Amino acid sequence: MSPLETFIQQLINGLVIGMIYALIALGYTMVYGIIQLINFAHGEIFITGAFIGLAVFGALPGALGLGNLWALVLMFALAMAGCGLLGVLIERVAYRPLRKSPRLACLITAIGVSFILQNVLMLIWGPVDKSFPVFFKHSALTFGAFRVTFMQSFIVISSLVMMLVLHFFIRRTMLGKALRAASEDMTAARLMGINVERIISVCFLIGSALGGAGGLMYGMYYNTITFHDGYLAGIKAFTAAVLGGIGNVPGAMLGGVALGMMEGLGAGYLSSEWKNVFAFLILIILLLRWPSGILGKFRHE
Amino acid sequence: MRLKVKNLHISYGKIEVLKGISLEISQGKITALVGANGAGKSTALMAISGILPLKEGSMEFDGKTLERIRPDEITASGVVQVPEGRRVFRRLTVFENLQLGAFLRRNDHTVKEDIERVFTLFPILSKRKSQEAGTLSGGEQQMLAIARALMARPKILLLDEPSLGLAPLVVEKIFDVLLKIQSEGVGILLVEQNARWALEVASWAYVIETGRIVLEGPGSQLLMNDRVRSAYLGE
Repeated sequence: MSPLETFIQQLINGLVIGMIYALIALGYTMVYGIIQLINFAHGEIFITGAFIGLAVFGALPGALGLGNLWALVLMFALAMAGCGLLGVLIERVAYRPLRKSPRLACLITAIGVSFILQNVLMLIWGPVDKSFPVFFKHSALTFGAFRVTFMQSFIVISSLVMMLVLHFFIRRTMLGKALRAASEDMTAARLMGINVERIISVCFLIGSALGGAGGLMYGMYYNTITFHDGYLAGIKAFTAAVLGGIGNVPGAMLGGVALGMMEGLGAGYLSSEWKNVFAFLILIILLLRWPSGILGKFRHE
Repeated sequence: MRLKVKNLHISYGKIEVLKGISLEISQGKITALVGANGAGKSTALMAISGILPLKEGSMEFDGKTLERIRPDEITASGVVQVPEGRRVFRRLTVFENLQLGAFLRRNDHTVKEDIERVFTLFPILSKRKSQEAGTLSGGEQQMLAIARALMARPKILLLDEPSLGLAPLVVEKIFDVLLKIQSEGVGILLVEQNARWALEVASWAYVIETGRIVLEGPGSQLLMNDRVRSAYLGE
């Protein structure tokens, strides 16, 4: 492989994991955009998506095996629905009663919810690694010297589709406009007859569903998951959201991809053991220079 | 149709801001609420709109009691507020702001007609319709805030300081439109620093001081009142 080819190959690998970070980052940013809460439980919601997908796969009849499109659709549908509902439930039970309390109370609660979920996951699925079946076994597309596996293109394309749908929803539908309005001025939105509590639920629903889809992709891509995998991936996706400018939806997508690529390059050129260090180091440097992220905090959505 | 507010009490923590005020706003009439800064005017409007929880008191609209109900239900019943400081959605376009004014009727095909109607009331908004609302001048933002509220088809419009910080010429334009809206049958509760103008057009007016209504009567009569003249008209 020529140096350029290696570089591009690492970028591709980074793009794939970056798309997953972006999906998770959207959940952080949508929730922050509307109630200025960093939902620390989001990492656990994300990995729950992987566990639900795995459970669904295990429950499927043999005819719907590996490589069957319907099996995949079902896994994604149920993982997204399950995580979406989990997010809404958490908001209703843990955050809504604290709406008028100091913000710190909510933040600490979020950390608590994160620990509870982690332990619930461990109780249900055990403390050991769970391995994923290998989807799209031998399929890869090769372009000259570099190759893109079928799994990688699946992740990139399906995340892109989800982000485009989200973008359309936020920009074009009335509910999306209400969401932008409420994140800008909650009281004014209430005066317009917008039920802001419902809008907050919608944010949790969509953000958590996207996180769940990301989690399932993560499981399929890395092949094994454990109950605490949500923690690190969650922190990274959160940094991606900050990198793009927290509260900003396009920023979360951009931040996720940027972080994934930095990490890919770091893993390729230094050592994959150091990829986390590399990612956070660049983040620190970037934030020292642009504290409000790439797209700035004044473009709340 | 009238909105009756009875014995409204509102507290921020231990401080009681409204100490039992009662107002009556009739459709097709302008009612003014006059008072100094901090007297509780905006608090009263936010309480009527359901944003602040009532500690005590009741509201009745069109013979029906509105008690402990959500802001969206109050807006749906036809009582709509144009808040102080305009509070347009700055990052949304003028057109989107208007659409959101009609949020509760969003599936109604008459929304488009209503947008055309507010564009004839405020032609400048038609020119600016694809611009982000944050790029508008103060006067244009006030027009947008009123137009946005009209999109909800209010029966009663609560206006909080619509003239604040605007040039006299712009204020005149906005007040012309308010008179037009009133003549179409909408009841207006006008909270104004510009007490003279408010009292001139109000068929009934209330004077509020530190959370209490201290004086009420026809606007023209309050204009003659010595206490009002010295405290609010600078005479």
